[in-house]
This record gives sequence, structure tokens and C-alpha cells, in this order.
Amino acid sequence: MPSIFGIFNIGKLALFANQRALSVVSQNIANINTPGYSRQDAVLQSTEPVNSSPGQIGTGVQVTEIRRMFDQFIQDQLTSEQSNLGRFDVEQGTLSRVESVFNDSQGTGLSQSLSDFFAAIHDVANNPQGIAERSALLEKTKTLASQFTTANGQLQQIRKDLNGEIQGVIGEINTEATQIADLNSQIRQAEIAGQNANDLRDQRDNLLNSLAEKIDITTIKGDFGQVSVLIGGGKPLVEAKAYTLRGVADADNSGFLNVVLDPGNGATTDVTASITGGRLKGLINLRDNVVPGYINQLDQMAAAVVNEVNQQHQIGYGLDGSTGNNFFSPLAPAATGLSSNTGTETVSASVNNPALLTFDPYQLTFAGGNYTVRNLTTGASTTAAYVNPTTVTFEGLQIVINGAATNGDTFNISAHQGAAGSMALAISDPNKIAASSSANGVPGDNSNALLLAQLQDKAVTGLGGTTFHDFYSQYIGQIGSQSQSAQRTLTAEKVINQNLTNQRGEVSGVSLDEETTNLIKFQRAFEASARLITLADQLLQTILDIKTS
Amino acid sequence: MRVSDQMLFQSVVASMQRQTDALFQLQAQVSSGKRINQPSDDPIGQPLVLNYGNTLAATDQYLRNIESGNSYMTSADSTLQNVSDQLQRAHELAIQMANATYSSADRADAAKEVKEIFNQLIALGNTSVDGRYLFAGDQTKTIPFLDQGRYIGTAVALPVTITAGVNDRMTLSLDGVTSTVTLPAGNYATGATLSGMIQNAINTDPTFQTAGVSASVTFDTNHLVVTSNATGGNSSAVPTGGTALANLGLAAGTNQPSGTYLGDSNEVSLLIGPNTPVVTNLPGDRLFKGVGVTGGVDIFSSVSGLQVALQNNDVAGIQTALTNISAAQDQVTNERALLGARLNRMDATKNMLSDFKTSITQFKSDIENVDLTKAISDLSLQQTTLQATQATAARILQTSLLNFLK
Repeated sequence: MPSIFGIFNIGKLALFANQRALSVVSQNIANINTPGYSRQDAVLQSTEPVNSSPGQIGTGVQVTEIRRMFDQFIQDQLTSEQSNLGRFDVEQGTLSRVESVFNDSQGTGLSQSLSDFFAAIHDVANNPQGIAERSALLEKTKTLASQFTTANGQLQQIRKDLNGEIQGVIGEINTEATQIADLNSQIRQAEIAGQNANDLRDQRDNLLNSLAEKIDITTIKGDFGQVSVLIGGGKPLVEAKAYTLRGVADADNSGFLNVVLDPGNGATTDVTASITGGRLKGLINLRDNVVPGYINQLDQMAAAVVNEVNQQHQIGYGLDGSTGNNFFSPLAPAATGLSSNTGTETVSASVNNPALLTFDPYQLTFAGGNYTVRNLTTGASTTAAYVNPTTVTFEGLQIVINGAATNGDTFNISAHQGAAGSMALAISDPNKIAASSSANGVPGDNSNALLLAQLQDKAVTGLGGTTFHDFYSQYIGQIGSQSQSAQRTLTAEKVINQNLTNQRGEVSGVSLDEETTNLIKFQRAFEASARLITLADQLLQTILDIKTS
Repeated sequence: MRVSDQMLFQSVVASMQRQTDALFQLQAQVSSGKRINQPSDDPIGQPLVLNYGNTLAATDQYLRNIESGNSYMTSADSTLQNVSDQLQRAHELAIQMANATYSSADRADAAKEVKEIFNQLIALGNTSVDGRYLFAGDQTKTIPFLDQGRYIGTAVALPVTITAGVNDRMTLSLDGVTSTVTLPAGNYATGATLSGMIQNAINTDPTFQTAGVSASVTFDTNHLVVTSNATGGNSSAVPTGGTALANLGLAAGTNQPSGTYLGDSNEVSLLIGPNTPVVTNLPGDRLFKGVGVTGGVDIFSSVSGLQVALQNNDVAGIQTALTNISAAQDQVTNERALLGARLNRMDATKNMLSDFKTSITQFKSDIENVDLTKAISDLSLQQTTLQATQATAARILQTSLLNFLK
């Protein structure tokens, strides 16, 4: 009776197969909302037939494989788009925050304060002997200065916050890299034993997406389901095990962090410049290029206001006959050496001729026994042999160098750096405001006050030949334009992401209707298979009943 | 294509979020009334708005400057009107008194009126507005015209010893009356005792007492100042000789009769536009003393000339004074014309600036302000769209095969 027992067998195998298929369907239904889950499919195949007459007879069904429905190409695309998404998200958020530092749309911003400042100067010109107008001017000046210092403070804080975030992101990257390495080894063990590590792969893909959002990665598939992760410039982050990223303070960048890859054998590599995507790229770019650019322009504007007003004020006379007074605290040019300098020289900078200041960045370098002072924006420079000590005057700056210099030493020199943060009134006595152009003209002469008021319309050389207001308007326009561009780029990127996610969902997503249908399908098959066994049993019973009597 | 449930949920959520975001933006615009609430809303419009705002603020300031200048210059104009009136009265008196039918007594009476005209002119010259003297040039805190004549001596070394017969005589011309005063001998150690002694000596001199003139003597820092107590055209105190002058520092001092100008000649301007100054004052030396004017006359000395001529019954002198006073009237009229021209210019500029301000406000509003009607209708539309999305979402999310399997 091989055929009746064959039917038993077929029934038994069918029961097992359908039961297995049902558990796969249950798994799908249970994980319908799991992010990154790829639906699984039980692959049914008929078992090996046996030779018989008149032909081969089938022996049943089996589940040969639980297959993960998955498109690697779409997944790879989705992973790489995460880097863009992370970067644009950070840029949009930070630029939006930068925008809110300058609240001119409410009529209380820096533009208004600047107008009020000049209006107060006009009022002093209208009544040069009046103390009330002079006191009012001092108050308006304090407001203007505090607008500059507050804006500067907030921009600096944004930089610090970006730096803190970089530290946090580096930590998260390290955690995820370690988890990916763990999953790698688990998947390897499973797949060596011939298993499909479907759920483990899903988890790993999730982690790769999350990692890609933080830093741009390239993945390389290896044997037994291994995935190696490379970061910027082809450096490995995860191979057989995970390496660590570290934040190392850079003394030449205000102590902000550089990103360094540590493979654990002591040979660390600085990868800051080779990161090209992900949140880390956005954070680093904003912290080191974009926001410092904004701070620099604010400094230029503050320095120009201080410089022009002071020059005009010094040649005027106050009500008490005093002259030569600064209205604002004067500019304090700075010379900063790089941490890689090896010489013992000291460099100091001061203002030699305020009318010639350009508010460009300068660099002092030593090479071949000569020193060179170069304007980094225009390229203009002056060179001479270095003797100890040396005093150089160049474009309104005076630079004094003392001590022994080594070739290759570099100093960054700036007349305007920090001007916005340190802008302050230098006068507290209203009588010292220099409205008069001559000592004899006191108290009725207002010609110096008129000249001060007309600074509002002056084309300032240090600001590229624009007025203070025009410079500020362009500045705000630039910020607005970059912020708007970041918003649009993010929106476009989100659409791309949504499309890719939808494509992935088409292949790997779970459809409740489909799974419910499958449930019914396999349930009926299970019922039918059980019926087979009952039938086979009845057949056998019938055979056995032939002999009884 | 296959649609998984996650895709459905995500798409529904994403649509609703997009529309809620749009609703949020519109609501922000409607409640602030501005289309541009931050620079990224319109990166090209925002700098324009800032520039217009700056222009408006500057225009407002120029209008304020014009107001300030106006009040100053209008006061000056009405003062000059009074000056003209006074000069006209003096003119009439001069014509009248030049007539031979009047007696010396009549002329003496007329002199008293002319003296008051002189004092009134001094007072007009010293007009101040808000604590600033109108006709003082740059010296707006110093009273420009002296009403009492005085003599400022040179530095004196204390103590001063007066010895009888050696250095005790001082010949003084006080308000036109000359007398030689004998100073009491003694050693005067302080400025107060010295000035007090001289003052007493002058005021007890019989000649001066008979003429009814007197003086005050003070010691200022390191020198003596002798001031006549009278006002009017011939108020002056001039030491002309005597042995005492050298020791007292009264030999080479400065004589400042009434009507002397203590201000300067500087002009003060205001800005009524970028690089557009307008002079707002008339320096007193030019206006009242004719300094720097071709054919200019000193108004005060013209009137005081008349006063003195009347007092002395000097008809020829009256004629001369009449000529000077006529010239003075022309001078005032010319300066008033200059002032009037400036006032007209300020007025015209004010009108131009007001129109300009209206235009700029309009331009600024066009870019910056939201069209409320459009924004509100957009808002309603957006609300409707959101509601439609929410309704369809509710529908879609509820459909499932499980509803039909029991």
C-alpha cells in the first residue's frame, strides 16, 4: 500500500507546509508597522516525485525557502539619499535659526537702530548746546552697540551649539557602527549555517540608513552577508569590527572639533575635510564656513561704523572744549599665530591710518628669511627681509614683529575681527560729544555734527564702497536667500525620499489585504490537507475491512 | 503597483502635514499683515523693504530738521519786523526834530524816546529761543549785545598801593560826562576792596552826581571792569587819563560802549536733505552792525547818534543820524529778504519731502504688506483643502478586507 501511505505522507507534508506558510504570513501581519521591515514569502515547491507506472507520482509539498522580498538597488539609493536628507535638514534648521537673529521685519532690528542713531545725531546738530539731545544720542548709541553685540553673541552661540551637536553625532555614529559590526557577525553565523537571516538583515539596513543620514557612507558586500562600511575618502569604518570616530579639538579653530578616525592601532586620520554628506557635513560646513562668514560680515560693518565715526569725532570739539576723543571704543586689531608655528616671535598689530583700513583678512608669513604681509582678499602684499625687530605699515595697519622667526610660521591678522562683539560707547559725558568743528565755535557750531550725520550717506571704502545701510540690506538679503534655498532643497529632497520609500514599499511593504487573503488561502489549504489525512485513514480502514468477517 | 499599508499611512500623514504647514504660513501672514516675516520669505524683497524703511526714516528726520529750523527762523523774522518798526519810529522822530520849529526842550524830550528805542533794539537783538540767542552766531549761550557800556581793564598785580599826589588821579568819561576823580590813598590787597574803593570814588564825585551818572566797578579774575549804570545810546565808561591808570590796568584796556557785539560771525546750518545744508541764522554783527556788508551801518550807533544829537540840540547831527537810520532800515530789509528766501526754500522742501514720503511708504507697503483679501481667501481655500484631505484620509484608512471577513 505505498500509495495510501503515500497519501498520508502527502497530507502530512501539506499540513507542515501550510502551517509554515501561515507562520510566515503571521510574521508579516505582526510586523506591518515595523519600520524597515521587508515582507517575507514562504516559497512552496513540490517535493521530489517518485518513479512509478504509468508515470512519476508527486510526493507532496515543502517550503524550500523563506524569501525576503527586497530590492537591493532601491535600498542602496535610499541609503545614499539619507545623507542628503540629513545634510539639508541641518542646513535648513540652522539657517532658519540664523535668520531669526536679525528680526528687522518687526521694525526693531539693526537697520532701525542705525537709522535712530543718525536721527539722534541730527537732533544734536539742530540744537548743539542742548544736553537733552546729547544724552539721547548716547542712549541711542548704546542701543545700536548692544544690537551688534547681541547679534554677534547669538551667532557665536550657534557655532558652539553646532560644535556640541557634532560631538553628539560622532557618538551616535560610533554606537551604530558597533551595532552594524555585531549584526555582521550574527548574520555571518546564520548564513554559514545555511539560514536566511532576514530579520537581522532588515535591522542592519535600518542601521545603515540611520548611519548614512549622519555621515556619507559607501557599502561593500562581502561573503556570507557581510557588509563593509567606508566613510569619506574610502576609509573603513566597519570591516571585521567597528572603528571609532573621535572629536579632537583644533587650537586653530577656537577649540572646535575635528573629526578623526581611530582604527585602534594608533594611526589616526583626520577625516574632517573628506566628509561630503550627511548631517556631519552640514554641521561642519555651517560651523566652519557659513556662520563664520556671517560673523565676519557683521564684524566688518561694526568696524566700519566705529572707524568712520571715530575719525570724524576726533577732529571735532565738545561743549567742554575737549577734542581728539573717540566716540566708540577704538578698534583692536589682532594677530593670531597658528599652533604649528615653531618660532618664538611675538607679533602685535595696531591701527596706523584709519582712513586706509580695508577690513580684509591679512596673513603674515615667513619664508626664506623674509616676511610677507598679504591681503588675502585682493592679493596685495609687501615683502622684505626680516630683521629683529621690524615694524611694517601696510594698508592702514601697523605690525610690530619681535623675536626669532622660523620659516613657515604664519600669523592671521585682522583689524575688524571681534568688532561687533566689543562695540561700545567710549563717552559717558554728553558735553564731550564733538558737535563743533572748532574750539571757538562752541557752543553754537554744529558743523562736525552735520558731518557725522552725513556719514549715513557715505560710500565707505572698507565696505566695498556701499553705505552702512546698503551693506546691511545686502547682508540680510544674502542670509534670506541662502535660507530660502536651503528650505527649497530640503523640500525637494524630502519628495525624492518619499518616492524612493514608496518604491521600496511596493516591493517590500506589507499589504494587510494581501496578507489577509493569504491567511484564508493557507487556512483553506490546511483544512483540505487535514481532510486528506482523514480520507487516507478511511481508505485504509476500508482496505482493512475487506478481511474481517 | 503594490501599495503597502505603510505607504498609505505615510502618504496621508505627509499630505496633511504639507497642508497644515501652508495653513500655518498663511495664518502668520494674515495676523502680522506682512508678506515678509523673515528674510527667506522673499530674499529679494526684504533688502528693498529695508532700504525703503531707511529712506523713510531719513526723510522723517529731514522733516524734523525743517521744523526745528522753521521755529528758529520764524522767531528771527518776527523779531526783525519789530526792529523795522522801531527804526521807522526813530526815522519819523528824526525827520520831525530836524525841523527848525522845535525847541531844544522838545528835542531833549524826543531824546528820551530815542533812548528807549535804543534799549528796545538792544533787547530785540538779544532775543533768545529755547535758551539760544538768535543773533549771536556760534556763541549761542552768550548775550550778544551789551546794554550798558563798560571798560575792561588789563591784568592788575595785587596789592595796589595808591599814594596821594603820585597815582591817585583818574579822568573818566562816563555816559558823555567827563570828570577827574581823586582816589583815596591806601593799600588795597584784594580785588573786592580795590573795586569797591574805585566805585565809591566815582559815585561820590560831585560832577558825576550833578549829571546823574554813576558806574559799577568789579574785579573779574585778575582785572577791573568799569560798567556804566545807565542804558541807552551813550552809555559808556572810558578812562581817558590820569596818574592812576597804569597801576589799575586801565590804560590799555578794551572799551565796549552799549551796543557792542560779543558774538561771532559764524553761520549755523541744518541738513534738509542729503548733502543739502541751509543756513538758519543771521549773525548779529552782520545784521545789526553792518560788518561785511557793502555800505553797511551800525544800527545801534545810528540810533545812539540820533539820541546824542537830540540831547545836544545838534540839527546837523540829527540830519546825519537820519541818513544813517535810513541806511539801517535798508540793511534790515535786505537781511529779512535773505531770511524770507531761506524760509521759502524750507517750505518747498517740506512739501516735496512729504510727497516723497507718501510715495516711498506706498512702494514699501506694496512689497512688504500682504493683500489681506487675497490672503484670507487663500486661507479659506487652504482650510477647505485640509478638511478634504482629512475626510478622504479617514475614509481610506478605514477600508480593510478584515471588515468583510467574519
